[in-house]
Amino acid sequence: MDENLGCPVLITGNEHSRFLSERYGYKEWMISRFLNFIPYPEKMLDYIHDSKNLHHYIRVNTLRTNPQVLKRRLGEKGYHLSDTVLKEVFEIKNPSYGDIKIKDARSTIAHHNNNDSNNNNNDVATQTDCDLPYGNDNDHGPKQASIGSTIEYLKGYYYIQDLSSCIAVEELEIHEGQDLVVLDMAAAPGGKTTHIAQKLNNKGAIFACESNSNRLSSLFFNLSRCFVQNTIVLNTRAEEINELELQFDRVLLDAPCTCEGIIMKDKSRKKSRNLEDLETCSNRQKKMIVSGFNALKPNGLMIYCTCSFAPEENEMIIQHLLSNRKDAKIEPLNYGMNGLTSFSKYQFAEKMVYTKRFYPHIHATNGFFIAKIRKKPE
Amino acid sequence: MPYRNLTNVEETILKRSFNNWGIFEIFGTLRILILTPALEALISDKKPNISKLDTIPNEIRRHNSRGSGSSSIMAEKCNNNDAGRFHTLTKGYPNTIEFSESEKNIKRTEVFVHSNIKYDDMLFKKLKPVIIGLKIGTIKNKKFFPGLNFAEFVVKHNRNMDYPHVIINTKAENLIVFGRDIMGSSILSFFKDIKENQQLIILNPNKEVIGLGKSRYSGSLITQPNMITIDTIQDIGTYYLKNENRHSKSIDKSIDHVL
Repeated sequence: MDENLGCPVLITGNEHSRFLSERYGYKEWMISRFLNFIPYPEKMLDYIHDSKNLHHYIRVNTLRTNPQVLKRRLGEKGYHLSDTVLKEVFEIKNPSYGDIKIKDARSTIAHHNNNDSNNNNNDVATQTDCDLPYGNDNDHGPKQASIGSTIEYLKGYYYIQDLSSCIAVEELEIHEGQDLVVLDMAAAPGGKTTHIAQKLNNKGAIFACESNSNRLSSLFFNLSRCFVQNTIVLNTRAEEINELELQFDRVLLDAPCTCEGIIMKDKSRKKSRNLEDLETCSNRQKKMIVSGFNALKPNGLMIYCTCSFAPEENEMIIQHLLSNRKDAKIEPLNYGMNGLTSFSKYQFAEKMVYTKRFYPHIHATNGFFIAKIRKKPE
Repeated sequence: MPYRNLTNVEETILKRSFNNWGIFEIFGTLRILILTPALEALISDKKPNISKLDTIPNEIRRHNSRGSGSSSIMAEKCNNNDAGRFHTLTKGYPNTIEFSESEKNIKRTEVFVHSNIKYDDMLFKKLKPVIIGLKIGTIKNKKFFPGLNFAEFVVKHNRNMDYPHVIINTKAENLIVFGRDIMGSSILSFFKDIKENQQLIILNPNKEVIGLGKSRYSGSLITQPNMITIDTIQDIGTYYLKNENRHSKSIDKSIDHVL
């Protein structure tokens, strides 16, 4: 295990990486890195390039309504909802796209649920790993209103949120009505905070930290819209949470990152970041994860997640924690593809396989990384 | 932005409102906190003449915020290490005379509801939270002005619908969320005892809260066609659009940390 997990890794490009960077509009250093650790990288680039491959998900707010009731109501308005691996999360299939085949998210997640033999699910759709969902039919139906403009959305009946983000909160092991104290270290705009609140059924307490005051209003109004009553919002840096001298049963760190995983939604990410940003993010994430872990009660659980592919923001951060805190233990997760055990010259702990990665072209979600860490009891 | 418990006066105001809206029974189950926005009055360097307050023991000042209304708030501020934040109004008066800011001059306070009762005031003072729980309305000039979330409580707990309300059709519902007022012909049903200039809850055909309004007429006159009979005060659409921008300006931005 290499302790010196420092600078971002720059991998020398070649003709192929230069070709791909020109074709898809990325900085070349990103492509040369992708080619080294992302499964089927060319297919991913092609998949991301087509915005029609973007999947839309909503999470039903069970504080306000029931998933099946909402499904029926939105169905009456012309939205097609399909189930996913989480019972309160639906995929919205916009009817204005006609007959374009979009991979069913539930079967996709189950199919690639980190099983070499893929033998767990009998009802897996018969598709290859990277079916590209192009349809031959160009006949577009009537344009559907945006899913963010319905009365149900304004009433807080659902939250528009990617499936991978919902899985992160699902892995926090919060059972309904538990009287837990939860810390959300980077809360705004409130997607995961409101999800935690509905898991708690407005019991317990959530401390939601957000250092950027410009983002506080979106957090405030999402909490209000979703009728969340058990949250205390703090305008503080997550790294300084230990100064509050509080301890938590659960800690969620959805760390600020370079957001490589959401390039499909924000094409500017192809060129807006450089290696210095990666290093800055990585350094900050190391401080945040240690602070968050220190704030955990013994036997408490922490979820660390990012919407990035970069190992410097993912496995290296977990490795940094494991190296500095001997009472930190990685636990297995239910969904996703195994985390990396090595990257370039760096070797990670064996249990890094318990962390999970999500890829757009494989899982039909944003690019995402989740790690589940337990604080060993004293 | 300090949060605090209710004073006796505020408690009376809220109890009366909860009772008027038919949900008095839930008052005791909610943990209600008050947020007083920072005032823009002149801040004096001199300590104000508060000899009576000086005699109140610290323990009582800290824990008995309900006890004596405005004086308890001032006592907390006196006990605060940050003495410079104590507000006095000296404009227009000789320098020898100083006045303490009384509660009646505080224009508006915001009412929040929090579901957890474990954490006490000392913890909130230490943490200095920006937001606690759910905002349900404001108290202004000794009157409670309910917000949309308060209306949700009313609809949820007053099953008999024994409160001022109207039920409007779907077409009007879609207009109201853009701030439009209500035409009489859009009203499907209304509260039987509705009075002129009365605050009421606007419901859609599914009996869900979509806004708060004020009636221009009483009784069945409220359904007169081709004219606006209810003014929309708040709606779920513009609430989250307009106020989001206003709220973000009032938050202290001095501790931004840009990545």
